[in-house]
Amino acid sequence: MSIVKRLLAFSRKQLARRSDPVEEIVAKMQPVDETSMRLPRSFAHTMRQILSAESHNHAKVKG
Amino acid sequence: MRHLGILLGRVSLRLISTPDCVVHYTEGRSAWKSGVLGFLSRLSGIGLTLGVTIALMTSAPWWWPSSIPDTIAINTTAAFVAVALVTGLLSTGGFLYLRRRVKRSLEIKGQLHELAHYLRDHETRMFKKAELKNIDREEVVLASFCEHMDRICEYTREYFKSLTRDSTISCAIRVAVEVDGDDGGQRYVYKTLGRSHGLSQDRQYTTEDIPANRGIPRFLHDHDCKGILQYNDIEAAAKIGAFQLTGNEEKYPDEIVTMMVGPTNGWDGKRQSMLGLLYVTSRSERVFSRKHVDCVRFLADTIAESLAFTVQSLKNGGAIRTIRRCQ
Repeated sequence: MSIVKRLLAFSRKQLARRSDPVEEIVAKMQPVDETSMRLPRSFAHTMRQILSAESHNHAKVKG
Repeated sequence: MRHLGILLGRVSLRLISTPDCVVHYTEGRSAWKSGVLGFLSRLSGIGLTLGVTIALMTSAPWWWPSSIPDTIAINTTAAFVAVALVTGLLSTGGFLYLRRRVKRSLEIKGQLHELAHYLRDHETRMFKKAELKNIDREEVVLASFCEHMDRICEYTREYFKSLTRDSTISCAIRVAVEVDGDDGGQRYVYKTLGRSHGLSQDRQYTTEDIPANRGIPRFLHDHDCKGILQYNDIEAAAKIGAFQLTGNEEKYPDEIVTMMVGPTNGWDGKRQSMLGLLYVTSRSERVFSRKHVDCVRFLADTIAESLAFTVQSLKNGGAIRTIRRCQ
C-alpha cells in the first residue's frame, strides 16, 4: 500500500512540474490599476473609432 | 525499475484522478513525452521494452505452466492459413489506419492553407483600397471589421475540428477596445468581436466585456502575455478566480465545457502588446491537451498579425474618415 502511495505522490510531482501552478498564482494576485499595466492603448483607441464608425454605418444601411 | 514505477504510477493516477481545472502551458513541443505512450516512445521506454523482450527470450519465465509440452505437432496447412489470416488482418488494419491518418493530416494542412489564403486575400483587398481615392459605401460595408473576425473564427474552427476530430469545436476572438469609465476617464476592455458557428448568435446580446485588469487578460499580462491557458473545468476555475463567469456562461452552460485561450500579440502602433484573445472551445470533455498548445500559439500569432495590419491600415489609410464620410 505504501508503495502505491509513493508512486502516486511521485506521479503528481512529475505532472505538476509540466505546467505552471495557476491556482497558486491566482491566489497571490493583487488588485492592479489599468494605468500601471502595459496595454495596447493606441490600438484600443483606434478600435473604438472603427467600431463606432461601423455601428453608425450599419445603422444607416439597415435604416 | 524506476521507470516502470513512474509508468505504473501515471497509469493509476490517470485512472483515479481528474485533470486540473485550469493549466497554463508556455510551450507544447515536448507534449510527445507525456502519458503512457509518451513514456514508451522515449529512449528509456524503448530500452525498457527491448530489455524485457530480451529477458523473456532467454528462457521460459517462472510463471510458465509446466503442463505445456516442449514440442507439439501442428498441421502445416492450418498454420499457414492462420499466419496468412493474421498477417492479412494486420495489413488491412494498418492500411485503414494509414488511410485515415493521411487523409486527416492532409485535411489539417488544407485548413491551414484556407486560413492563410483568406488572410492574404484580405490584405490584398486592403492594399487595393488604399490605392483608390474614392471608396464606395458598399465596399466599406463588406469590409466590416467584425465580419472579418467572424471569418477568421470560422477558419480556425474548421482547422481545430480536423485537428481534434471533435465536431463541437467553436472559436471566438476578443479584441482590446477603449471605453468610457465611470470616472470619466478611459478604460480598456477585451470585447468579443468574432464568433464562429457553434456558439449561439444571441450571445452578442448578453455578452460582457472583460476588463484588462481582471480574469484571463490580467493573468496573461502578468506572464508577459505568453503561454496558453487550458480550461478543463470552467466552474472550478471561476471558484479559484482563474476565470470570470459572465451572463453567457449562465445562459448557455453547455456551449463551452472545455477551452484553450491564447493571447494575440502584435503591433499596437507603438510597441508589441496583447491586442486580443483567441478562444478555442468545445462542448466535449477532455478534447484539448498539451499537444494543441503550439497550434493555438501559431493561430494566435497569425491572427494577431492580421489584426494589427487591418487596424493600422484603417488608421493610416484614413479609412475611418472615409467610413464616416459615407454615412
